[in-house]
Parts: sequence; C-alpha cells; structure tokens
Amino acid sequence: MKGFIISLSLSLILLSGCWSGRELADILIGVALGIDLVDDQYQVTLQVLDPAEVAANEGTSTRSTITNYTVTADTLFEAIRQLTVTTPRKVFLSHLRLLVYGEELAREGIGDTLDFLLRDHEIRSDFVITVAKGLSAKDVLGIMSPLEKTLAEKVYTSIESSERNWASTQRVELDELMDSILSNGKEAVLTGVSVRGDIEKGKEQSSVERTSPLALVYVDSLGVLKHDQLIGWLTREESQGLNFVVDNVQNTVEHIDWPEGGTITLELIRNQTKMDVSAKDDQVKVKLSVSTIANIGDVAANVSIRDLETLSEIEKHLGDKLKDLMQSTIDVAQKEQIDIFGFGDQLRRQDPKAWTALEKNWPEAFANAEISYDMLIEIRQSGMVTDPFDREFQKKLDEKKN
Amino acid sequence: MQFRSKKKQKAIVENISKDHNVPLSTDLTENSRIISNMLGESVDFVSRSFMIGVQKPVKAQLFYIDGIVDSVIIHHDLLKGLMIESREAEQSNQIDRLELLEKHLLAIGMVNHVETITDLFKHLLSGDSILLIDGYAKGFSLDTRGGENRGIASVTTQEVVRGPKEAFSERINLNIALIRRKIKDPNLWMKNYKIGNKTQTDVTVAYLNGVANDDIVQELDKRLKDIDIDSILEGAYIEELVQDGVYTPFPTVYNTERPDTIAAGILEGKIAIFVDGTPFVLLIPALFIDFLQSSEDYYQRADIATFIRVLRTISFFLALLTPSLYIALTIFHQEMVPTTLLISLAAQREGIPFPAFIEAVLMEFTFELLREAGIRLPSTVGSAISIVGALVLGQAAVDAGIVSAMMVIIVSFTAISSFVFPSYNLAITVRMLRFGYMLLAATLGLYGIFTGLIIMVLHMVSLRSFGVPYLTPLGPFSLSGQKDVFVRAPFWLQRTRQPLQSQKNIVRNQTDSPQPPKGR
Amino acid sequence: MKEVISAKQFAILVFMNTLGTAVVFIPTIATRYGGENGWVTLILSSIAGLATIFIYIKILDNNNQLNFFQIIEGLVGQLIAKVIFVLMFLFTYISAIGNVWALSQFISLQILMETPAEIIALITLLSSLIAVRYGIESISRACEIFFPFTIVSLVLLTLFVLPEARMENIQPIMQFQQAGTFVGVIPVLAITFLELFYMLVICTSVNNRKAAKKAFFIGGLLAGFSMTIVTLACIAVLGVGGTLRHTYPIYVLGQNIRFANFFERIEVLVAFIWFFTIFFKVCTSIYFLNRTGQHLFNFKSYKVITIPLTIFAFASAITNFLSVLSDLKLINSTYVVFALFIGLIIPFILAVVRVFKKT
Repeated sequence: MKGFIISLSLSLILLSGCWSGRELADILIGVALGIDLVDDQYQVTLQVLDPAEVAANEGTSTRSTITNYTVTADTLFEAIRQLTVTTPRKVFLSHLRLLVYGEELAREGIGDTLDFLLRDHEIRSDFVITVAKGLSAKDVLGIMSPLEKTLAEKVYTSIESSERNWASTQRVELDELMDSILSNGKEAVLTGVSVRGDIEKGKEQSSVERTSPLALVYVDSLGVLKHDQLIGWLTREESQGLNFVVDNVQNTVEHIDWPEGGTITLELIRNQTKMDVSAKDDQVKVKLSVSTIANIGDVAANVSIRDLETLSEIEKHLGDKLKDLMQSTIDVAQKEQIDIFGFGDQLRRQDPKAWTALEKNWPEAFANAEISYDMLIEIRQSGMVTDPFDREFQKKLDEKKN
Repeated sequence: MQFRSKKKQKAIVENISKDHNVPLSTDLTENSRIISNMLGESVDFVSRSFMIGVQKPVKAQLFYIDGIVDSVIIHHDLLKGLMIESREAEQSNQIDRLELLEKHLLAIGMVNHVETITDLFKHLLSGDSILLIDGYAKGFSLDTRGGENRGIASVTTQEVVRGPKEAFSERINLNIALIRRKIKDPNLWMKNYKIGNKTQTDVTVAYLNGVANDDIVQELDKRLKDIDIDSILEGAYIEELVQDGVYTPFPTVYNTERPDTIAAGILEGKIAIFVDGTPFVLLIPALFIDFLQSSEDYYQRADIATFIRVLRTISFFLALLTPSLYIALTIFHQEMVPTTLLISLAAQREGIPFPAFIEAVLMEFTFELLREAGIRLPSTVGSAISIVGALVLGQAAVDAGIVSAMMVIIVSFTAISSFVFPSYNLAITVRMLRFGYMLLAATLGLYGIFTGLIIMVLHMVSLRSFGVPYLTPLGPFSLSGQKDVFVRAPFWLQRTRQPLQSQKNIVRNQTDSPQPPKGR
Repeated sequence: MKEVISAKQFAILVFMNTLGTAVVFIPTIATRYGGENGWVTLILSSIAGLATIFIYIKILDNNNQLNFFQIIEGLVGQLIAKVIFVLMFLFTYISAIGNVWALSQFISLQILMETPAEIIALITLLSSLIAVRYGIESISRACEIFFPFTIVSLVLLTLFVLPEARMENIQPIMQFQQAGTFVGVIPVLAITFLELFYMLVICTSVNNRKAAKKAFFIGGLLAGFSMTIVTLACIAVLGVGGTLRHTYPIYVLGQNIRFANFFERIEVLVAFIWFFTIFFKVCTSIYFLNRTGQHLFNFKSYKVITIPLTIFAFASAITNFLSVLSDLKLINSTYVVFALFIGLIIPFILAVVRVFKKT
C-alpha cells in the first residue's frame, strides 16, 4: 500500500511537469529599466546583458555587452509585456540593479509606476532608483560606460561609493521611496544621474575605446520630490548638507579656508547626527547634535598642527563649515516648504501629541522651525607627517629671501 | 504462487532430510557405499581403509574431503596414531575398542560421536574427518578442519591513517579469533548456527553478555532460526533476511571488514554476525550515524575527529543535493543566484544543446558508469579509465560545447563528496537517491527538494534496526547520545554507552579528565 | 499498537503548530491593528495564548490510560462529547485546508511562479498523507529533526537583518493606536493559539502526562517569543508601511538580507521556516482529523480513512478559497468568531466541568 501511494505521488509529481522552469539560456537578464513619458504614454527602456560577452575571459569581441530595448505602451505592465515580443527571449527582471526615471516623467509624478514595481513578483525591491537629470532615461541608459561592463552596474557602484566616500548621494530603494511618499512627515529625494559630454557619440562603442570617453555618466546630486513629483534639484553641497542632517554620512572630505590664507582639507571618518525635534505652541524646534571625528588630510596653509590651540581652531572652523553646509540645505527646503529631512517623522516619534496637532499644517510648521546646532568635532590623526610640508617650504622660501 | 507453494516445498525438504536421518549400519562396507553414493563419487572425497592393531586387527575406514582438511594433521597425527601407535595401546586390557580409540589413540582436540548419516555429512562437509570402525553403528568425527586460506590480509575497503591495518578473512574461526584477541572477557558469548540447507554455512553470533540488549539477542536468534534458504554465500544473504524494513534504500545492518570496528561495536552493546566465507562481518543494530563514522574517529584527537565528522555530515548533504540544487537554482530560482554568478552561469549555458536537467543526468550517469567500470576492471587497466574520464568526458565535452564547465565541476564535486563516506553501502544509497532529487528539482525546484527531504526524513525516522529507531539519537533526540554523533567527545566525557542499544550496564568509563600533576 | 511520543517531541510539535502559517500573516495582521506597536500585540497575544494553553491542560487529568476522546466523553457524556468532536473536526478541517491553500498560494506566487497552486496543494497533501500513515511517532521524530533547522534559520534571519533594522521604525512606543494594539490580540490569537485545541489529542499520546503539560507551555512560549521577534524585525526593517504593504512581509524581510556582499538573495531561509512549520502543522491537523474520524465512526485503525480524507481536503482546499485576499478577509472575520467559540469557550466550559468534577 505504501509503495502504491509513493509511486502514485511520484507519478503525479512527474506528470505535473515544470510550469515555471526556464533554462538559463532562454532568459534575458534585465539589469536596468528606464521609464520616460512620451506623448502621455510610458516609454520603457530595458537594458539587458549579453552574458557571453560579460563573462568572456579572452579578448572582447566587437559585440556590445549590453543591449537596450525600447517600447511604448499605455501602462507600465503592458510595456514590460510588450518587451517580450521585441526581445528574442523572456525578460527576467529579478536582477534589476537600476531604475531611471526620465526627468519629464519625474516632474509629472512617479506614483503610478510604483504599484507595478512593488506588486510584480519577479521584481525584487533592492535596486536603486534614480532620476535622469535634464534628459530622458533612454539617453542615460544608452551611454556606454568604461570599466564596468554595464551602465547599471556603474551607476549602482558609484552611488554606493559616493554615498560612502563623498556623502553627496543617497541610495534610495523602493520601500524607502514608498514610505517617504506616503509619509506626511518626510518627503522623498532621489539621486540624479547626469551625462557630461556628447550624448549621441557616447552611445557608440568607440566612445569607451578612448582614454577619455566622449560622454560620462555622473551621479552627484539629489532631486527633491514633493509627494511623487520632482520639483527641483539640490546642488552637490546641498546634497551633502542633507546627508549630514539625516545622519547618512559615513566618510567624506571637507576643506576649510584658513583665515591666514590657504586651505586645510579634512577627512571625516566618523559622523553622527542626532536629531531632536520638539514643538511648543506650534513652534517647532529642531536641535541637531553632530559629533564628528576627522583626520587631517591635506594642509596647504602656513600653520603648525602640533599646536593644540591650532587644532581646536581647526575643529571650530570645521564645525562652522558643517553648520553652514546644513543650514544652507535647510534654508532651501524651508523656502520651498518641503521637509526632506524627516523632521516631521521625528516629531511623531518624540512627541506624538504635538505631531497630531501639527500634522495638517506641517509644511508651514516646518518652514518656521527653529534650527539649532550642537557641534562636537574631534581631530584624531594628522596623517603620516606632523608639521605640514607647506610650512617647511615657506620657511625655506623665507630663508632664501633673507 | 510462490508464496502458496512455500509450505509444500518445506515439507518435501523435511522428508528428504528425514530419509537421510537413518542410523549408521554396523557393516563398514555398507556405510562406505552409502556415503560414497550420496556424494556422487566426487573426486575430492577420500576414503582410506586400514587396520587397527596387529593382534586383533579390526577394519577401519577414514573419510574426509580433500582441500578443506588439514592434511598434515591427518597424516602425522591421525593415521600415524591409528596405524602405528595402536600396537602399543593393544597391550592395555581395554575391552571396548571405541573407548580405547577415543581415550588413547585419537590425538585430536575435538572428537564427536556420529550415529546417523545426516550427522556424518554435517561434519564431513565442514572439514572434519570421519572414522568408522567395522562392527559398530557409530563413528567419530575428528576436527581436522583446515586447508588453504589467505591469512590475515590488510584492510582494503575502509582504510585508516592511524589504527590497526588487519582485516577479517574468509575463515570464520580466524575472524572470531581476531575478536577474541581484542576482547578478553568471559562475557563475550558466541552462538553458532548452521544456515543454508545446501551450504550449511557457519554463522556465529557474538555479543557481550550483560551489555547487549537481551531482547535484540533473542529477536536475532529467532530471525536466524527462521531462515530457510538453500545457500548463504555472503553476509548480505543474512542481512537481507533478518533486517527490519524491507522497502528501504537505507542500510539497516552495518558491515565491515575491520576487526576493531566490530570489537568496538560489541563493546557498545551491539551484536556481531560472522558468516563463514566472507571477510565482511555484520553488526546490528545499525543506526544511520554509524554509517557516517569511521573507527579512526576514535584514534585521532577528539577535536580533529569532530571536525572530520562535521565534514562528513556536510558531505552527505552535498553528495545528495548538489546537482539537484544546481538544477533548481538555474531552472527555477535564478533570482536567488547572485548576479555576477548568474551571468557567468548563463554565459556557460549559451549554446549547450541540452536542458540543464538532461545535462546533469547525463553527466551523473556517465560518472556512475566510469566509477563502476573502474571497480570491475583489473587494476592495471584502471588508470586508463581515469584518463578517459578526465580527458574525454571532462575536457573534451566542455570544449565541444556539449556540457557546461560548471556541470563538470558540479559532478566532480558530488563525486568527491560521495567518496568521503567511510561506508560504501551508504554511498550507493546516496548516489541512487541523488537521481530522485534531481528529478524533483527539475519538476518542482526547491519546493520539490524540500518535499523530498521531508519525505526522506519521515521514511528514515519510521525505520528501525532491530527495534531501535534508525535516527537515534537525533530523532528521538537524546542529549546524552550527542556525545558521539557529530561531536566525538573525549573519552573521559563518554562515561556511558549509547542509549537504547543497551539498557543495562551502561557505564563504560570512569576515568576522570586528565589533570596536570598537583603541587606544581 | 499505541504510539508514544516524548514530552520534548510534543513541545516541538506545539511550536511548529503555533508557528505554521501564522509566522507569515501575523506581522501584517498585528501591524494593521497596532501600527508600530504590532510587536506589543504579539507579546500580549503570547500571554493570552499561554493562558489558553493553561485552560487546555486543565481539561486533561493525570491518568495516562485514557485518550483525549475518552476523557471528554467521561467529562460530559457521549452525546455532547460527540457534538464537540464534530465541531472540532470542522474547525480543524477549515484551518488545515486553509493552511494548505495558503502554502500553495505562497509557493506558486513567490517560489514557483506559474506553477498552479492546485498542484502544490496536491503534493503537499500527498506528502502529509504519507506522513500521517507513518503515524504520529514518525511525524514527531521528523519534526524533531527539522526543528534545529527551523530555529537556526529563524536566528540567522534575525541576525542577518539586524544591520538593516532601524529603531526609529518602532517608535513611538505605545502612543498611537493603543486600542488597536489590544484589539489585535483577538485575530492574532485566533490563528495561532486557539488552533492548538487539537493538540490535546496528541498530548494524550505523550508517555508522561505531567511532562506533556509542561511541554505544551514551553512550546507555546517559544512560539510566542519567535513570532514576537519576527514581527519586531519586520516592523524595524520594513517599517509599518512596508509590513502592511507586502502580502508576505517575512519573505520581504528575507529579501532584505545583505551580508558580506555574497549572502544576499537568501529568502530560502524564510521559505525554510515557513515550509517546515506549515507542513508539520498540516500533518498534525490531518492526523487529528483522522483520529477524530476514527473515533466518531468506531474504526479499528485511523488509516482506513486517510486516503478519502486527503482527497476531500484537496477538493475543498482548491475550491473553497479564492485568493490570498479572501484568505486575509476570512482570517479577520468569520474565522475569528469560530475560533473563539471552539478554541476558547468550549475548552473553558470543559475545564470548568473538570474542576467541578474533582471537588
């Protein structure tokens, strides 16, 4: 009897066949998706890999490692399905690394595209979302990139490294974007992707065969969204300021202008910002406590850093610099009445009652918020030399003069 | 039909043996004729007539089978004593000749009386010599067992780096002696059976009285006595006839040619079954973990042994699941493969004419062929197989674009993993099940593999080896049993024997953990 | 032959039965009612669940001879007992086929896309048929073997998502939706502890009744703890919005694992927990159904009805539930009432009767 049941179940399993089986050779691995708005229709650009080219060990052939397919349809889902007709194999989106919105679409609002991305079981939510700054997503995805074999990988890694080492971008993923869009106490930002150089020539293979490619993709600024619409761009400094406020700085470099001439560049190796938001009689008070540990990276000023007083002066200057950086970003945001820092969310956590009262008029309340700072800067190491080269150099110059 | 006629057959067999159960005749010529007829006048049958004594000579005849007797004993001790030294014995005034013979002339360790033809044959065919005297309806069987054997060889199937190298051989008494030499305890009890209507194979059950579970000893005794078969040529016959579960790919009786493993098993409360004619001795009850353990685990330091055991456990899963996981991941769950790995896999798969499943089955099948061929071939040609396997099937197939390089890696990896098991029969089981898992993976992906694993475990926990649950001490779980499963605890921690195999007398060690000398 | 299991095995069975299905739906349900305080709902539910278990074990006496059915019959008489058995049968039947269907939906949506859920349901039921025919001894032993894997994958999941967890997500604690936090206990309880009523049948197979009662508690406690941790992790990593947005938040939790740049995309870990717990839950509940059927119809062995019952269960599983959405709706309405009646009120009355009979 047991044997009968086992054989019955086995044969059923076998007969059931494999519905969802797909051979690796039958799928196209989509790595980047670009969405544009063209004549009220979605224009979807999909970047797929040619695995044989990407993985090739011996000399690269003339075929491009990536291929872009572009289709236009009324809804996003339809567009993706339509891709299947265009492409030779089934499109596989689980390995999507990058999503680029065209600026035009972003300004119209991205909300309608999000539901599909979230709902589709094949798409995972771990890709980065960006906006093409000043051009269409199709153009951005068309640029050939040197070193990294696909553009998607290039943008993915440069966002990651610039977030870590430069603090000028934010890696935004789907869930975070959704949360920001839905929340009343925080507005979303998206990383902007821009192209410098000749866009048309940058699409050709010959572009990457040169030592300095004809067009390069840059990731260096943040776009600000109100609800789901892009309303403007932050500059690089403002983006850094934003990252300082929201405690998203891991490692960055800042320079200060030395009063007696010259500059000192510091590497911020650890930074922590604590946000403290309170409200009293509709007046919101925000206190930002920043504690930073920095190393001296480059001294191009006539100053002795052996001197403890000088050190504390450098610390003070750096603190002021950071304060200015943050304040300028906050000023911009307050002017536009857009809370990109999540002060509202923080207030909700700290003082739920005040938040309930302020929630409806939060943009105004945010615009009138008082900001105060508490800077704690500590300089740890001064690199491999004690006194700067510049100082010795100056001394020598002085001696020569004499 | 076979089932129904079984009883009838048994009755016939009994009738025949009853016919033969006739007493010996007093007439020596008559006896000699019957014996010779029943053996079909076979060439290896030797009968030697001679006279005992000079004054009152009496006709006597010695029967033996050439080749299975020790001819030195027959020539020097037996015949010399009977034909020459009997003259001196005649001086004494013994009346009964048989008593005289037994007490004074037969310089042989073991002497039995035989009175029936059946009895006579039982001894004769086991290598004893039969001495019949004219005028008496009974005779002697004299232990002259011997003949050629290959002696104690070294282990060939379960090699160790450190540990004894001697192995069992085909002779049962030598094998038993090897165990006796290791366990010098009067409680090491042995019981002999003759199984096989035609082969009359000697089967000896050995256990440590007072340690082994009496229920299991009795159960085994019953099952052995129930065996009614023509021939027992190897331990496997016994294994298949006494095991608990019939429909299972998993071995529930352990076998080894290593005397130290058997001795260790007996000391743990297990029961060894020696079968004449094979160097492989059986051990029951056998649990799943026994097949993942090697005797060397106890000869290496505890930490090293533990590491090796963990390695082996992992290799069990690798050998079982690697190809199926590869199939499942590449056909169904591409999203679970890291992107860079997926790209390189996809690149290799370009242009391969077979689906991943067919490719995997083909390669696994080829490997099984190679392995089987490697075993059967004479060792001189064996190296040729590895060249063919490595070059033709590995390199050339990949270069020709028939299989992907990854598949070759997977198959080789699986093969290496399956060679890690110290026990050959578990390795075969794993190889067989592997194909099933590949099928499941190809139809239902990881879900199929999970379902397969669950059903396999359900099957394994339902198995019993002589009443002991097969997965003891994992399920049913016992904490004290864990000291000798994946972890091999140091001896000073292993104070008791494994539970369930022996319920009584479980303390086996009372040594405290070694300490540095005090006062320093 | 009377099947006997150990108290340890029973505790593990209780753990698996509480966690099955629940571990996937609970974060969403608790968060819907309690917002950021979803995990508080879980703590409260665990306490309430342990109280429920206390009621359950009060029903049993310490006499090892009688099985569950005989005990109830001795308590309230043949007729009422039979009615109770029928009700329990219906309730467990619904929960069992609901579980099978939930598992099938999940697998056909997330793991084996495009494979019809019906086939998955069939295979799951067939495997559980094999399990049930092997008997509760084998089921609990297999459970014992898979238990470490379940625990290890739970712990690994929690450890791996720890770097992604943001404590801001669970703040403010107990400020909003306080009422919801408490109300949420009821549906959470309904799909976890109240379904454990049928475990009493297995409880009577344990070799040591006293130890079994203790094991019931331990299993429930461990399950409550695990569910609280999972809910906490979901809210901390995905946020309230994320937890609510996804049908299977714990699976998305698995997708969030990013460790050492290679250990990513290991949602399988989650599938592990989910699959093993639900499989054993299905097995145990179908075993219960068979035993109840055997008792109601006075069969000699429950094995005679295993096959028809499996076929029935398969048919009802694929026809009675439409989609994941209607599942969730059912969990939140009718089912809760049913669960409260059979899982709480009836046992409570039985326990009271037991206490009175004693004095």
